[in-house]
This record gives sequence, C-alpha cells and structure tokens, in this order.
Amino acid sequence: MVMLEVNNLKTYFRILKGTVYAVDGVTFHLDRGETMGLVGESGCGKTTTAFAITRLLPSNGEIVGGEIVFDGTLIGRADFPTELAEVLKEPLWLPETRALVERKLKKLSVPEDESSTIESMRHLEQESACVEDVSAILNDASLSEEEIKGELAAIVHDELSSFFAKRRRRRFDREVEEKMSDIRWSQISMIFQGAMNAFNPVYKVGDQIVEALLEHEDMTKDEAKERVLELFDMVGLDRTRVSGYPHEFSGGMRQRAIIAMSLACNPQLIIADEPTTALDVIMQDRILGEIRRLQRELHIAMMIITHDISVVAEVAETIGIMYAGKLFEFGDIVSIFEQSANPYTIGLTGAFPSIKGERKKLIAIPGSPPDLSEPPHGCRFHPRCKFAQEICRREEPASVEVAENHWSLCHFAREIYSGKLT
Amino acid sequence: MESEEGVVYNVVNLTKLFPIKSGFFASLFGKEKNVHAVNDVNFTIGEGEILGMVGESGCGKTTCGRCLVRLETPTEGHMYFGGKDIAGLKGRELKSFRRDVQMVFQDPYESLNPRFNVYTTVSEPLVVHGVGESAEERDDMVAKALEYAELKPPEEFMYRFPHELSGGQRQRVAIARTLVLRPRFIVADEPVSMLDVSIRAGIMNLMLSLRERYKIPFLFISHDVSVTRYMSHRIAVMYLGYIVELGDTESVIKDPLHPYTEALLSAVPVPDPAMKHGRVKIKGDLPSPIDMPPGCVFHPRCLYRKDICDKETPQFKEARPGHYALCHFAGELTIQRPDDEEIFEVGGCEYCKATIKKGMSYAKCDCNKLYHESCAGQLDECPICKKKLQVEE
Repeated sequence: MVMLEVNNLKTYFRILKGTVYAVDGVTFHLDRGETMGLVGESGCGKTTTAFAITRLLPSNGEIVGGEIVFDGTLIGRADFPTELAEVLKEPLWLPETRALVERKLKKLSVPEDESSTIESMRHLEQESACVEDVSAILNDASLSEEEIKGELAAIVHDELSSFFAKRRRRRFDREVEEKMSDIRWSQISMIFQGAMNAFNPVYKVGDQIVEALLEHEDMTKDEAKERVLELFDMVGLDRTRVSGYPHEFSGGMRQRAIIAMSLACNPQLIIADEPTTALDVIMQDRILGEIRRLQRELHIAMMIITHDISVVAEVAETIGIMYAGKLFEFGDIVSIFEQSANPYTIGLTGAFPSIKGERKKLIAIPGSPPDLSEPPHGCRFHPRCKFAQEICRREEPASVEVAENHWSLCHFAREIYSGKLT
Repeated sequence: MESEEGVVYNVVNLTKLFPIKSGFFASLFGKEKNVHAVNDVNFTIGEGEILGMVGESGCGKTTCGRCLVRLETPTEGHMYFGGKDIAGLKGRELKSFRRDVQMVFQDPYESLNPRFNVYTTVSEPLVVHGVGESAEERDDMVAKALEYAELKPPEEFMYRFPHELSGGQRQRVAIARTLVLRPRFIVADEPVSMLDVSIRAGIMNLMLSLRERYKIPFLFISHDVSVTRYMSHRIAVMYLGYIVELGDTESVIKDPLHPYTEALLSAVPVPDPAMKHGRVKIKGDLPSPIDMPPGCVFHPRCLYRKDICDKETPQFKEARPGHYALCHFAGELTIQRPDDEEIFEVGGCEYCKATIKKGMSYAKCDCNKLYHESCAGQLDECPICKKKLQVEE
C-alpha cells in the first residue's frame, strides 16, 4: 500500500545569479512500514526533497512542478501559473504547454472532495479558471506561435506578479501552511540534520517534547509527561533523564531523544536527514539498530537521507540514488546492489571501501558534481560517465523500469542491467 | 632500540597530558587534573609504510598525529625519527625537523588560506625554509609538486584561488603543499572524511600511488575503519589514549585480539544489503579521559571482564607475530564472534515482532510481510492483506 507518492517533483531555488535546479523531476513512492534510503553526494538535492515533502522550504525555494501525495491527500504541488512559467522557458514550450494544460484539465474537471487535498476549494476554482483561459488561447487558431507565447506570458505575469494576485497567493499559502502544520509531526515527522544541536539548550529535554505534544495532540500536561516517559523507555533512555538539559546528554543520547521526539505523536512517516552522521560507529550502529526495531514494532514508514551507502544497506528495503537533482536509480535495494542499471550507482559502489570480503582497488569517478545553477545538457552525469555517448550529451534520459520495482535513469539502462555494457 | 634498520619513526612511551585549568586552592593542594589524551603509546613506522590509526572521536588519535609532527610537545616519552630523538627539540633544530615531516589536514575548506592562490600556498613552505636558489627553481618545484598531486597541467591551477576549486582539488593542493618540501614522513589527519564518496577514492588512490612511487611513509588517521583498511599496511586501534591493538591490517580486521576492536569492527556498516552481519554489543559510553578507569581502561565496557581487569593494567604484548594487543587475555580469549552467516536476519515477524533468522522457515505474504511458521499457523491469513499464508523454505 502506497503511503507517500512523489511524482516528478521539481523544486528550484531563486538566487541572484538565476535559478538553482536543486530537485528536477524526482519520482518515487514509499509503502506503509517500509524503509527507504535516499543516497547522494552533498548538494544533490536530498535534503531539498525532504523539505519539499514537509513544505519547510526556505523562502527562496518553491515547488515548480510535480505532486506530493501523502496517504491519499495531496500535500504539495506546484500551482499552475508557476508551472506554466517554467514550461514557457523550455525550447519545446508549445507541446509541453499543451500537455500540461491537458493534464490539468483532466484533474480539475473532476470535482475533488475536501479530504483529497489540503488546498481550499476557492484556490482550485481560481486555478481552473486560469487553466481554461490558457486552454482557450492555445486552441485559438487565429493566433501565431509568437502571439500565443506573448499571451501566455501576460497571463503568467498577471497571475504571479500583480498586486492582487500576490495578496491572494499569500492568503492561500497561509491556509496551506495551517493545514500542513497539523500534518507535520503528527503524521510526518522529521529528524533534522545535525540533530545534536536540534534541542534548545535552555529548556529541559523532556519539556521540549511535552511542548510538541501539547501543540499537536489533544492531551493534558500530565498525560503528555506520561507519554514522554513512555517514549524514553521506547528509545532506551533512562526515565530520570527527562529533567536533564541537552548539554548533559551525550551525542548518542541526544540522538535517541530526537528519535523519541519524532515518535511523540505516532507519525506514519519519519524523514530522517543524516540521522547518524555526527556519531561514532559504535553509537551509529546502536542507533540504527534502535531505528530498525522501533520501525518494525510500530510499523512506521521511514525515509533515511544519507551520503553513506553502507548505512542504507544496513537498514533500508528500497533505495533511491540521487545525483545533481535527479533520481538516478530507485528500487529494491538488493536488486540495485547486485545488478545495478546505472553508471553512477556502479561508480558509487565501486568507490566505497568495505571491511568485508577481499580488499579490492577502488575506482574514483572522475571530475566533480556539477553546479546546479548550470547543470550540463542532456544527462547530468555525462561529463563523468564512462559509458557516455553522443545521445547522452544531447538528450535527457527517461526513467526506465529495467525489472520489477527497479527504475534507472539512463539511456543505456537495459544494456547495463543485462550486462551487455560493462 | 633508537634506530633499527628500515624504521623511519620509532615512538616509545609517548604520553601527552593536557592540564585542566583549576582553581587556586586545588592547585595549591596538588589536585590538578589532566586530560589523558595519549597514554604510553609505542609503535614504529617502517620505510614506505602506511600505518592506519582508527578510533572513536576523542580517543587521542589526532593528538598523537600532532605530536609526531611536533605541533604538540609530548609530556613524556621519546620519538626517534631517523635515529634522533625529536621529542624535546627546540628552535632551529625543530624547524629543520619540520622540513622533513608534513601534515595533511581534515578539511580542505578550512586548511587553505582563501586569499592565497595555489602558487602562493604551495610555495610558502619553500619560502619559510629558504629552499630554492632562484624564483625559477621554485616555480619548477611548485609545478612538480602539483603534478605529483595530479593537478595537471600545473599552469592551469597555479593562479587559481581556493574558491575556484572543488573539494577534491583543494585536498590535492593541500597534498601538493606537503610534497613540495619532499618530506620523509607525512601525517594525514582524516584527509578524506570531508570529501564526497565519488571524490574520496581518487584522493586515497593518489596517496597510495605517492607511497608506491616515492616510498614516503604515512600515518593515516581516520575514524572510518573501511577507509583505513583500504589505505594501510598496519592498523593501530586507539581507545581512550591507548593503542589497544596493533597489527597487520588483514590480521586485525579478520581476527581481532582485543574485545574493543571486535566491537568496533562489528559496528561498521557494510555496503552490501545481503551481508547482514552479527553484532557484538558493548555496554555504556566512552569514559571521560580525565578520570581514567583503573586497571584496564576498557574493563567497564568489556564483555569478557575478569577480576584482574579492574586492578591491573595490562601489558601491550605480542600475542601473535607482529600483532600486539593491550589485554590481559590477548590471544587466549576465544572471541565469541557470531558467525556472519548464522545470524543473517531475514526480517521481523509481523505477528510476534521477533526476528526471523536465516534457516528458519517462515511465510511471506503478497504484501511483503513476514511471519514465523508457528505464527502463520495461528493466523492462517495475513491480517493486513487478508490473503492465505504460504510457508516457504
């Protein structure tokens, strides 16, 4: 049963120099009670993906395409004018715009019930009016291509930059934020990067968890305190520690407390961003064991974001490998490790030393990851790829399902998977 | 003892204490406390050898490395470098010693001066030590060093600033800076831990090829056992300022003598999902290096502890040829290392929540949930997807 579905998610950051294409077309899904690992090098968009899902993006970041569906509810998507503005920048803007409008008309023509989205009906109505306007322009045979583009650009400008539109959008954003803050923590909770410093140093650890509980759950203070004790037992912390301050905790204990906090409201999904990076191996091993046990007992879905492929190999069932804002390979972890269909994954596993098995020579991937404000044309990995050919420079690859539950983003995915290309 | 054939560095009873500032009265009554960063450490580094040093954070591995290049003055002990004790060197002699030993630091984003271009950074050691007769000669040496660090062509990199370089290139510049003086010994303190995986392998291979070609010995400090295994000939495992185990890399990894090494190794994640390995649990947290436990430092956490352990300090003894351990029972201990295969975990049972180990018969239903054979018998159908359970294996 699918719990989280991310469809072609695009998240860009606007900076002075232009745009950073931090997440550019990421598609994956996560089942109930499943653990997924999201692996990639620094700056490849892992954390941005997590922030887009929880709608915690900084003010210059926005979702410009795609959808995020959590438990049947649409919790994140790009609104139509933003998406249109991005499509208009493409060289093949006309067919893409048509495809976009068609998709939108299909979605919006069905009256949606309140629970399937966190957006207000008014917003949806507003948007469908805009879609119809655009559709009318596209179908107007008397207009030339240039004129169509001009008209569309005017609509986009109207919808995004005029005073009233801005005010309206701010209101919608507020509404969404309100609904989202109900979902956050109680249904999706997050363990942030650098969790060691996530606690406020001047409040007692127990009180901080109580505060979160009071905010999100309908319980009295005494009930909340009781719950915190339960949580401490669950993660293996001593009960007396609830009245301790963060500085009195060791790194591993703080990490446990953070996990307790993320479990506080019985979430269905936990997104853990580098949960063990700052810890030593022995503590890391314990925390991973703890995470696995809790997840099995409580049946929580989990997304673990890390740069360490071996951590994922220890705990996850599915794995997503990100590179330069794209999901290069996704699927069942055993299948990907044993028979990868992507040159980047092969490079990554070949560059990773292990303490088991024979000592084999590591092969580095030449070059370094691209600057995401100017990603390379075609496949984003082609400047570093040993299989790169002409087509890789020219065309962006599409995701190929090489086997059941195993997708790879490569022009030669099938050849690599079947071993024809080595 | 001072100089053996083929030994570059001989460290004898090296100890480094850092005094903690205490109050006036405490200092009057002699109650001053120390952080025991490095305790009575002995090892040698041979010609062209890479000695790996692993341990958790705060175990003293960096302090030990800094002592070896004399960025710290050891409290006690001797360090024979090329037959000469350099533990107490001062002034001019120290400076000329430092020409022979160099250090690569952890973070290439911090260790390079952002206002120096690559040429200035790499040529600075030459200026400090007054090496090279003319500017041309120095240019030549810098170009060669950059080439050794695989920054080719050197002219292209020479006038760039650190912000124009990627992480891997920066670390190569840092390596070129150490190579320019043609050192006889290099300490690399976590040189790859700040780098991304795809770049890390390149830097490690570079250091291996430098050793291969120029026979420069390294002390390679890292918290990552897998990386250290790849890099080094011998491994020293540090715990709370002591070297608890020292031996050939494969010997230490495959057959550890010390209970701590065993626990450390079993905690290292393996990049292979099919290899779920047995875990050795150790109790508690790292004790404070200020109030060291009496007797064997590892006894409060040791699984094999006996009465003697909390009373007597063990000897660093050679339990196997070339393989030393700081343990009363080194070599005698049958380490109950769970066999990797035996404890291979299939997953958790949905019904009773216990783990299912490999070899047990279990049922798998269509929704990928697992059940013990006995649990499946009780349930008959999967409570989640309501399908009949079939026992496999």
